[in-house]
Amino acid sequence: MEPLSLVLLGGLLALDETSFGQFMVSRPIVAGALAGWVLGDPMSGFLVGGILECVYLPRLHVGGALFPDGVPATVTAAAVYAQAPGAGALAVALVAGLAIGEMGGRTIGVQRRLVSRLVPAAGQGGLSPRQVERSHLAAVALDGLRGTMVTALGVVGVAPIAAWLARHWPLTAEVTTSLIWALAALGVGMLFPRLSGVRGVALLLAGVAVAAGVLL
Amino acid sequence: MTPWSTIRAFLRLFAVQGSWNYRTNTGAGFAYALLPLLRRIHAGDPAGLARALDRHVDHFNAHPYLTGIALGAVARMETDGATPEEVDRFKSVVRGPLGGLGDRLVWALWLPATALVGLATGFLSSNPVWGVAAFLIPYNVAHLTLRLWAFRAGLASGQAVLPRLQRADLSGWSNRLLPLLALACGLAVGALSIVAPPSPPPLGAAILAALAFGLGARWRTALWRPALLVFSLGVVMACLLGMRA
Repeated sequence: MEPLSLVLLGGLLALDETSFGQFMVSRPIVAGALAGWVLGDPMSGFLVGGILECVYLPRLHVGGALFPDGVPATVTAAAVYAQAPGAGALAVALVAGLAIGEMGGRTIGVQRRLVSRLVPAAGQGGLSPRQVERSHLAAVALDGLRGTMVTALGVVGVAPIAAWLARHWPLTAEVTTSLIWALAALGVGMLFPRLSGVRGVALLLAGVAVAAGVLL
Repeated sequence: MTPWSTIRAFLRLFAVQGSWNYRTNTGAGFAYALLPLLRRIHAGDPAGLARALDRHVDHFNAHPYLTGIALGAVARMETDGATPEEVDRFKSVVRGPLGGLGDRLVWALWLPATALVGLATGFLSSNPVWGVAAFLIPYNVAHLTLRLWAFRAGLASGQAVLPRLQRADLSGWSNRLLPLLALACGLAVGALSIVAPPSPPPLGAAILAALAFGLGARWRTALWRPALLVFSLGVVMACLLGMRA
């Protein structure tokens, strides 16, 4: 039941990316927590989603730019991490998720080309309301189907192989987690705004100090 | 325009990018969202409705949250009897600014700031529910407010919505968000240290994270793909070495 629930979750959340709502329930931290909840450990899902969030946030969904598909990526990564916990598994889960996210991004390009043929062209002298509504809703359904299929590939096809690979992880937990932290910090660094003077650095350090204070 | 047709058009705006494509971008979605209002404007004139739809499926693109400004204004212009040329010209003029303003305000600033605060909240509290709530609630309060304001401003002002958009000073709001984003970056980097236990994390790990942050801040997205490639190849190679050992 879990794989099926994850696949359906992936298809549903993928709609939020562009087709319907954009309430950001498709962002990795939300998708990760939900996938973790389906798998029985929301915090593990949130951890995977949080790191992927840092990686994906610098990639803006602007204009016609193709972007990695964060929903199947996160759901796949959460599925891997649930099957083989540990620092090595987290690293392998992230790579499996990133690969599926990249592939999902390509399918978004294919979908957009298909929809180009689906939607009516202007300048025909007249269009019926039904034509406009049907083509639009068909495009939304196509996006849901695309998200579902990419998630299915990740959860059923990639996740078991990645979990098996993770069992052969040779590095220590300390080295592995340091590399993962660095990857996430790199993504956050890309978002850091350029403020005049030392204001930006002061705010950054204030944020680090607050987090450290809570953790310690 | 009736209240019900106005509400339906507003609700359909949530799916305005549903048929995003390389030929017309959100053109078909714009016509889909405008349809309830066009039905009222061209009530009893199916040929007029068909011609209006034919014009509105043509190319359009803007930030999805601000598309309501254009949609509301176009509905007002169609009601007031503007010519098709005037409506088309208006759509061509507004789409660029609405895209640029929204992309910077929402995608580049508000989304990362709230997501990083949510991430930090979830990690620091060890509770994903708090993390998700700290992200989704503030994000969507602003999101829905922006969508509603945009649609109402367009409907109320019609073609004169551009001066109103300037008075709203969305660029100024973007600049005010910069300090929040800087603070959120610090919170997130600090909170992410939970992935590198024990607490406090080893000094080497903290130095590596600080170095990576600096590289990201310096080189921005130019480093994005190379960094992911190096990380992914490194992980795959480590797995292969582990299998041989």
